[in-house]
Amino acid sequence: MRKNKIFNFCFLLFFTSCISSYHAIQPSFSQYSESENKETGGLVITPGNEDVLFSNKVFQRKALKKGIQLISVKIENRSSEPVKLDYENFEVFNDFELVKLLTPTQVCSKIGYNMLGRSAIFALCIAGSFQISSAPTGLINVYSPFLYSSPFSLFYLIRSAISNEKFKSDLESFGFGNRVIGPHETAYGIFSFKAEKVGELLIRLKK
Amino acid sequence: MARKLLIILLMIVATHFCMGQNTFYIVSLTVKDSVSNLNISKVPVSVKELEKKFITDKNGHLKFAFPKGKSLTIETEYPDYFSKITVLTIVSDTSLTIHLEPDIQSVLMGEIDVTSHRVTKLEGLTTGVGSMTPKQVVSLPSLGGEYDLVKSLTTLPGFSSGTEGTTELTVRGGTTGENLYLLDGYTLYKSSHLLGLLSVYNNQIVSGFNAYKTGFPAKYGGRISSVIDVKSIDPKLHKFCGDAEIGLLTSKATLQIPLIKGKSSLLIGGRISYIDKLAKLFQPEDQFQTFNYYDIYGKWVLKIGDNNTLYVDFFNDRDEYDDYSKSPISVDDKLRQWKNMYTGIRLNSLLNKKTENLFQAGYSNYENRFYSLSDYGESDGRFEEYEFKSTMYDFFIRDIATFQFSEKSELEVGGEFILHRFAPSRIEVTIADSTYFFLSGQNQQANELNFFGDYFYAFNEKLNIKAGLRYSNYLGIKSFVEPRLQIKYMPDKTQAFSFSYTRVSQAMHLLTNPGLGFSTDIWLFSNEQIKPAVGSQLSVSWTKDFSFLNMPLSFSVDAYYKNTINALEYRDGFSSNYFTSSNSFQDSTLTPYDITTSGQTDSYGIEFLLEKKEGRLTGWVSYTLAKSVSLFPELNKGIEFPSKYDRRHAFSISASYALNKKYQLSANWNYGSGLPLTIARYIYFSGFFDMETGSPRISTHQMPVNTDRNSYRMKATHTLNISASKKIKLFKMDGKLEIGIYNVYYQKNPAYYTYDYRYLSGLSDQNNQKTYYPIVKMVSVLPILPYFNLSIHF
Repeated sequence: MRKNKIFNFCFLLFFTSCISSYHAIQPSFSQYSESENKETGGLVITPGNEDVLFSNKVFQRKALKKGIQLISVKIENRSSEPVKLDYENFEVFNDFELVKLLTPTQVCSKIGYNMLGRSAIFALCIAGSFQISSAPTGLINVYSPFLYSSPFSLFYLIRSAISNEKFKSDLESFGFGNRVIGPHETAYGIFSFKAEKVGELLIRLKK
Repeated sequence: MARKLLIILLMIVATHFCMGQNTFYIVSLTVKDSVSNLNISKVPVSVKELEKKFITDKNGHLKFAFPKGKSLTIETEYPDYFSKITVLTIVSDTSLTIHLEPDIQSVLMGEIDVTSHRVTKLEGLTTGVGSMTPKQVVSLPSLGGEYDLVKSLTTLPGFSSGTEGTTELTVRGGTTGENLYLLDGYTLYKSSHLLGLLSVYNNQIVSGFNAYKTGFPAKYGGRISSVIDVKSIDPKLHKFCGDAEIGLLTSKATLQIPLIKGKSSLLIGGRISYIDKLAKLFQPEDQFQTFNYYDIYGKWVLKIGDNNTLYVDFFNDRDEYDDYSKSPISVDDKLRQWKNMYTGIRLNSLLNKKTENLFQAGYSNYENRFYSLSDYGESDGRFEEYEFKSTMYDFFIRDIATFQFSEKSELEVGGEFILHRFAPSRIEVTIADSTYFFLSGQNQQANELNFFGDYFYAFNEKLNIKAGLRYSNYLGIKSFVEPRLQIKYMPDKTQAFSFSYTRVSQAMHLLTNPGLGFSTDIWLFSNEQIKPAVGSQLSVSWTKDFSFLNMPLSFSVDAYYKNTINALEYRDGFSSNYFTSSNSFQDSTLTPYDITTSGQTDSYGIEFLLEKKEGRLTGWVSYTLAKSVSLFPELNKGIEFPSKYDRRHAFSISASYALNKKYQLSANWNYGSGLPLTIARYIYFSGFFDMETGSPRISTHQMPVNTDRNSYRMKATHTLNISASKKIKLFKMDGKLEIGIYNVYYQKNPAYYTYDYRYLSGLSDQNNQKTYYPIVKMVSVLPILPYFNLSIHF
């Protein structure tokens, strides 16, 4: 019986360890060192110093694994005309090399929680049952973890889905899909692209 | 105070001025293969000033930012290509193309690339360009160890071998005479050696080629079906090097000799066969058949300043086929010879960064000779010598200028004048002590004046267009306006739709046999009797790159319709035998123009190609479904009949597997359905009275009465070829050893069909003489053929 309790405890610990709440991204709160300014045809871009995903470890770990960089940026429009930014009408160079910006959907699909896979795993856990054999006594206890794991797994799934949604929503809010920066205005946002590291950032509107 | 105000004002103005400026320029770079003009993916590009190494994307493009006020030094170094350093002063956003020159020796002798063939085809402009890298050519099993680019082409859809194992090329239902073979811009009238077993292109001197089956650029004209444009290597200017190769059929050697370091060098290459010496060992002395050939290629290069390069080219080859038999009463010798030769100069000038000019002038010569000797000695007293000769001399001058206005638009314009002097058939007969000449259209002359222009424009990344126009004037005969159009649309980076329209005229006709037997090719230029042929072709294609089980694959499908008017054929009852048998002089009033007739041909088909270009295992599968029909008012009672090269199905699968950097295995299987054939219903022998004896004698001249034209089909052909190669070091020199088997399961494929006569026992005619019946006999010339090949590079 004691063995069963230990097993329950391990099982719950495993599930609860996967659950972490999502922390909102705030690019405007990042530190921006002014020395990094680059004047490029009226647009000044300054990359933030902090890792955007610092508080979201799961996303951060996956981004690191897949070589995806998420960086907060401050873009100042120093021209007297409003500038409309869309993913198709400007180019970003990281350490002089052209990088392709990833859309929020692309970022989420790459580093977000894999809902389909996880749902399948948990569905299997729920549907199945484990047999624990107690060899010294010769007795066999049929033991189902369903009762213990189901609320947690459900909670986990909901939490993951909410995290994904919030993450995507933040990326959309701070992304550059159809965003207008008025004359002499400053906009904060997030750039996501594949690169080994983040170097000097340059931005240029396409002609 | 005023001074301070002025300074502040100036600062404000300066700040304002600077605010609208960029601190960097954008450099858009494309890396291309200088020969095939295809983009090369994954090329490392080092930018010295940034101390960075970029890599071109899968389409061969690269874009990077570059700070203002610095000169830009780009270094491209890539396996199988010569490295290149480009230095530029950047004053604005810049687009540039770097052409890398293939290092053919590296391809042939270097380590096997176990990762990929990196030249990307999706970016090519249009349909119908069959381009293979030298690496792809050498990855296929060869005949006798001889890598042959024309034979390799027949594994691609649309290109088909006229006869099994030969380099006779038929493209989309066209005839063998409708292909334009070019070597460095010089036209070759004879494209093969050893009765077609090898092509005229020596792989040691070839750096790359493009084969067009449609969508010809306007600079090409004069042949309807295809253009095979081969470029030779430029000899190295700094280092002496060479190649040598020993094979089963031939041996060859090439030397690259710098004359003035960095300025001038010489390339000499040649091949010679010893198959006649080997064959004689296995044949009786009094009856043998031999064939041999040689070719020699020379090129002198002189750099004049930084922007001009002068080339002096020379090429000469000869083929000989001898059929000799000696009996106690007579000697029969039939000798066939073919000669090809050209010489000329080329001046390539870079007028400025965006304008290039190529001037070329040259002379070429082709000769086809048949000589027959029948000597009955003292037994009969008869002695007959028969000689047929067909000759062609071309003088030409050409200039092509290319203007690259931007990455998006390019213009190519030019003109050429060609003077043809030719004698289609000159027959000389000596009987006993008397000699007779029969000259059919001797020393005729025809002139061509052509102007052409192509304009390429890319509307955006998705849509581009190339429109061309060629004006071909066959002076004194007829002139033609030939539009060319190619449109390509790429909805995304993985697929492309192409459309092309091509109209080409051809005044130089090649006559080939309609029926059975050995063919003697005769070139005829159009005149008042025979008009230039005109071919129009519509072609559409779809190409898609995709992944299947993590394998990057490319699939393409092409559909075409081609119409040719004024195509030329022999009239019923005539063939090239008319010129090569001694009875032809009996009716010497007929010229080659009199025994031909014109009609039209329609061809249509669909071609599929699936390629795997990356990884240890590379290869392709191709299938063509095609139909070609001809309608000649004076042939086949005016009823439509299958064209001579109407091959319904053609299938090919080629694969090579790199075990490691030294060993490679290759295999290739081809299938082609049978070609049409005309067979005689009856055969008559002409007879005459021997005036000395007063008795009738039967001539050996056959007079076939044919069935419907091309109403029979040859046997389908299929062949499996395998090879294994190993990179070796021989006395510190790079080398390659290859062993292989051609026609592994010994399939007897038809080379040609002929008539034979068989005695049927038990049957005799009314005079109790033995009766012989004609039969159609298939001649197969390529049995199972194991081979080895050793090549070294020093």
